[in-house]
Amino acid sequence: MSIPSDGYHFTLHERMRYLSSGTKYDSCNQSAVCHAFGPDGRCIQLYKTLLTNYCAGECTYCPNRCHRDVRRVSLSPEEIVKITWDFYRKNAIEGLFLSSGVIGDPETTTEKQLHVARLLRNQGFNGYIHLRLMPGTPFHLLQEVAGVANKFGVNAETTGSVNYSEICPNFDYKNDVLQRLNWICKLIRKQRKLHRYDHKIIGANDTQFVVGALDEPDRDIVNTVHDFMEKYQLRRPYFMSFDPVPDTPLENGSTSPKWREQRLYQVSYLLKDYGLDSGHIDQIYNDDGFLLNDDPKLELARVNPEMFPVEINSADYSSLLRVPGIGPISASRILRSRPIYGEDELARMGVVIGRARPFIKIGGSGQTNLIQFAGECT
Amino acid sequence: MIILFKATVTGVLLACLELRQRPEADLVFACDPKEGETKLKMTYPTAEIIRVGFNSKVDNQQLAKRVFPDGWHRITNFDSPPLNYIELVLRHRKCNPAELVRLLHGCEGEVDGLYCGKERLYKRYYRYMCEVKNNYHRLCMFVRPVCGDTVLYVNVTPKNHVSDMLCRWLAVRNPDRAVIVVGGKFAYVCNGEILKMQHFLKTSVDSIQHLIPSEDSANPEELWDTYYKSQMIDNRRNHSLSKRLQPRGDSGYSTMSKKDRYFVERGIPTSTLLDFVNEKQGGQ
Repeated sequence: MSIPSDGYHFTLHERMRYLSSGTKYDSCNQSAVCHAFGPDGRCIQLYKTLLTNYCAGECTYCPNRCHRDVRRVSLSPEEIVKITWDFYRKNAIEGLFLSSGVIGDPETTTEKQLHVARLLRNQGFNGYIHLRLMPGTPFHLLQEVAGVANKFGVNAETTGSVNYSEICPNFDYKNDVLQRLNWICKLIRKQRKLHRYDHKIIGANDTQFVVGALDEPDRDIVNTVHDFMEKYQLRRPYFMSFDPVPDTPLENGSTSPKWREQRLYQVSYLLKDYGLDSGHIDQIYNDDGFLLNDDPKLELARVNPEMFPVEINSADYSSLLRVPGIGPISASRILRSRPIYGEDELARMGVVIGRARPFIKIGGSGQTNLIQFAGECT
Repeated sequence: MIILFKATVTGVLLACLELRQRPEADLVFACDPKEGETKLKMTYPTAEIIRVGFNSKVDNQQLAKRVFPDGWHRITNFDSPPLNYIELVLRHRKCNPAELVRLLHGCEGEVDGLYCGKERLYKRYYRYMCEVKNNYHRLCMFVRPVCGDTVLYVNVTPKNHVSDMLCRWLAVRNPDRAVIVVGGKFAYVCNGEILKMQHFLKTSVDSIQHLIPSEDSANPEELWDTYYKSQMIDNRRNHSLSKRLQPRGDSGYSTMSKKDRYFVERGIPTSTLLDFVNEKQGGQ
């Protein structure tokens, strides 16, 4: 199916506005320079757009699901390429994030996305390209995408087949999502082997979850993320808070609190960069399996008081990482800069002293807490 | 005894090594030999002079190892290595290269003195390094060059001397365009081979005036506004965070960033005059 032409009644600005709004909830970034920040404090680093919001899918949470009465528009690959170049030359973005509604079938859609990426690369674009692919994209297209995109993946949306069939009835979780994540993982491994030293693009695997569309607890989401990291070398997961959209089957659902998305991101970093696994995180859920609205690392430290205080001058890397206020960078600096004599030295290494103080000792001395104080008095 | 040195990384390191031999010597720095001679004539007309850094072709890395034989294990991948430290500090508007040489000398070969020095001078110079880094980073974030057919041009007035760094950075991003950055009296050209010049060139503004594009060949400012507004999520507005991330002082580098800052400050209007007119017409 080709993109219907009636979308072109709208001006470029209008089409751009509709299609970019369609991706505003998608978090995506590259760890490089941010060029602007929105009034909500989020970094605007990529030109994020849908290729089209025509969609053959019937995802129950999605504003662009078929049969829903919305303005349907498209941008041609050439238009997207031109806008990307203009923004990039103007130093307003680092690259392109391209997603799309399903144009007929996943194959056609991915071919269109691939066309955009190829056009850019053939014109010498050396910025960042992130493609959000459709579930069910064939292997041969994934192979081609791996050669042009810096990051690509298929949205898992949820944690299992049953939930998935409830919100995305047109696709099969096992085959259209998990199988594709597995292929992507293998392709990236192959790319890494072939092109590790020759400055060619080596992609990375990503996926996105819709948080709060179904009743699944955070425990399930975190376990799934951990599972994906182990099995599919998932570089990072993205989370999108559910907001009920009028005129969809989930219109009567309740909005997911924004902090939930933030806490899930924090947990995903604990899994990715701090060497923790889902078993560690199990200690901080409430009885229903949800995270509390507090820093998960601080929560972990509170439920494991026997691990603290940590002696800065003798603790190993993993113990340092468990201290709130110490991240992988500052932990590595501490290891290499021992002996440490005072808090000001730690502060210079990037440690957030206010957070870390109750959990550390430097040269045997640390902050006294009320429990210790009471113990000494008795 | 006077040590006259060039205010470059090599000059500073060589002066430091000389100062180690002659701790009682006075230090005088200059950007070129002519300036150096003038300074000497004015202040030390009869003193014995040692000149370093003006004609030397030495490996800076080796020099750094000689100046700092100890403590390299304490530098992590995340710290700026000593050479970068010196280069960045030299770009600071308040940096006094003679003071910097004394500071390096005072480290007594321990490299981590640069990063963890307890005295006020060490802390000040560490802060200089961070300020220059920050200044450069903010420029990379917020400058918006004028895009000609073959040239990208930007005019900046940074607080510190980082215009050439910005020029190189833009050139790496746009290898098929020549990049001209004008910062004060000088202009920097990178990817100059496109204009049949050297790859990198520092020159006067007048000499490249004819190459500067007057306006954008494709002006995406309106498109950018449309895009920027489309990314706003109304119920997530975070005034203080966004203001901190898009600071007013640094957003002045370009009109586009200034406008972004305005939206951060005031929010994005959800209804426009056009909406009002359409509503009226619809009502009739």
